[in-house]
Amino acid sequence: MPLTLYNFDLDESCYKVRLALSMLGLEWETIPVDVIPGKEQLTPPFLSLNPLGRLPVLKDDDFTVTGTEAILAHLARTYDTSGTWLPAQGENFTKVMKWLNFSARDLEVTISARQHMLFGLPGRDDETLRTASAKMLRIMDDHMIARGFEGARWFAAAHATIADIALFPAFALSRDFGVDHDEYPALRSWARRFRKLPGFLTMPGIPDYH
Amino acid sequence: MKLSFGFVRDDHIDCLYHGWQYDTGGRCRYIPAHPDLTVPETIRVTAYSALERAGMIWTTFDPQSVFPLAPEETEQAVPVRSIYLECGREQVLDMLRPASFQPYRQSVAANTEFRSLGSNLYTLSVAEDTLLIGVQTISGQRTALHIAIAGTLEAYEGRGQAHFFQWANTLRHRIEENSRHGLSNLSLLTGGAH
Repeated sequence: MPLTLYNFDLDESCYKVRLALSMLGLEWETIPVDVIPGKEQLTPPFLSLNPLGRLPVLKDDDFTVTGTEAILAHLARTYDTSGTWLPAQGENFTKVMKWLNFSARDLEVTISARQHMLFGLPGRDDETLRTASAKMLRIMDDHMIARGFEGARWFAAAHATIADIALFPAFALSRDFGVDHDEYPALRSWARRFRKLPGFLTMPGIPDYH
Repeated sequence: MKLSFGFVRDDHIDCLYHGWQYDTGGRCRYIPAHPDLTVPETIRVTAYSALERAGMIWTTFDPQSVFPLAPEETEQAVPVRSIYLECGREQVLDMLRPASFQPYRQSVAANTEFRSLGSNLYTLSVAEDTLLIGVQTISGQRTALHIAIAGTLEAYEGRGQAHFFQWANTLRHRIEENSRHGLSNLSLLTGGAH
């Protein structure tokens, strides 16, 4: 059953889906969407796939999935035979949900910050966006420091889950919106571990190293 | 190109740009584009002295500067965390001096003792527990505190670290509240002047 991703390479949410597809060892086709400068995602053929006019969109055969976290969950539940990327039940399942919720709601400001600073898309002023984004990264860093004291190395479980995939780009791309990595040592260590996962991919703004 | 973008390989650091390799003294030892070349001694980068002490790495821009030698109690340290604060060094120290904490190894109530072990290293002690606090001045309005526990991993790993992690987070919160409060007082005063 063919998987098709409607994709824009510079979009970090599309990158999350590409990461999940690759780390799950799946094959997929890509349909490029001209977001910048074409605004193709706001035109009728695309709006019929997602009336919100937002990427990513995944087609799994004739099943259309929108919403980044929903796509990650769909891929993990459908294709991850190990059952680790989205634990089936228990506290680890709930922890993954908590961080997916954080990704969808609280990390939105990091997406706005990056779009505003890279592409000049409308948003609040640079400093407000940068401060609000740094606050979210600090919450993530605090969490990973505390996890370290419990001997845990991933956000939600003893192993990587789709929560780690959902959270990685905001940190890895933070220099795009003017937040350096110096003050987030626990996230730096976590990002280094994340890069070593089989199937890891980069995107523009995330070099092969660092 | 910053050398910090490069890679540490064995005891050399490799520049990301053209792979020039520098030794621990900052002298260039190998240029990949000219593998047979004996690299002239004049190709070097500035080396800064560095020291690991109290669970932190210390360095200075001043080549003449001598590191203050802290007492032996700082030799073994267990890291807790760093906190970054939007205020000046003096403001942070004013909050740190009267700070207190619940000891980890003993649950008795005791006074907190604040000491200076040199210009940028302080300790807070209660009963058997001592925290090592490095104060890093980033700018006039930005200061970092690097916090470690004096002692061994056997004594503090895990739960002990978590105990002082919570303390550090509360301290950060209090300093930030104080800083915000101070700012709002300032703007009130400014408002009154107009």
